[in-house]
Amino acid sequence: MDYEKALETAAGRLRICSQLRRMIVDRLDLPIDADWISNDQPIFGRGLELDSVDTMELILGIESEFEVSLTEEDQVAFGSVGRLAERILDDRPALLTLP
Amino acid sequence: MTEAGPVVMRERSSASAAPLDADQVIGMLPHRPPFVFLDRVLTLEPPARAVGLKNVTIAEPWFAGHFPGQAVLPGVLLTECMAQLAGVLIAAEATSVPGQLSAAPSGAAGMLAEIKHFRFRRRIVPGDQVRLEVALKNRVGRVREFSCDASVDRHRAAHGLLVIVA
Repeated sequence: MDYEKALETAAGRLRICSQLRRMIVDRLDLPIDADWISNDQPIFGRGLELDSVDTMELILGIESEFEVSLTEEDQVAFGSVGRLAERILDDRPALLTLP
Repeated sequence: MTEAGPVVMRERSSASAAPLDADQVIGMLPHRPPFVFLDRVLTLEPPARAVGLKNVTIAEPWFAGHFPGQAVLPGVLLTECMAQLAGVLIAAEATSVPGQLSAAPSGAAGMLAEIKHFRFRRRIVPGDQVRLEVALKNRVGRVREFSCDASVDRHRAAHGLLVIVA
């Protein structure tokens, strides 16, 4: 992978992470700024302390915004924003290069 | 009296163990009077869909204050009607095989976790027979989201989404 391609890939990942953080804050009505969430911060447990109802809201949000269907089986994907982005890109690699 | 009573719509399907009368409904919910708001379940198709009835009478205690001289069923109680119907649907899913309904363990019906996008479009007053319908829209593990509708004489009275954890 050449340097330009690597830069484009990294920028695409960051864009998806940013969209995910915004979606989490908006759909779950979290009283925080989306930029306060880091890409490797745990989403559940001692991270953002989301619960099972929030999980469904996130799954619906991801389906609506990224057209990727997750299930409760995708527990690893819900480890962090970064992992969610990876999981989304597994299904839709084209998102990396979309404007 | 042989006429002018409320017309009870019967909706059957092959997978349905309904109709359930009020006593059978109570057997499937942890709720007890005066906090049972379902008079009958007409259709029960676990896990997808249920239809029920709530008959509204002036004898219900909240009408003394909501409002004096102008009785209106509170929207929160109409929402509770739909939540209870969803509770029956969940209990039926947990305990039944198609066409054969066993008594549900009371208390197993779940907790209301979220009320979303509810709209109340017309007043429900004593004498009304409310047709309630809930349909499973999404499910993730123990969390279920139901699309809910209430109507009187085929006029839509309320609709929205309920999220229940069971």
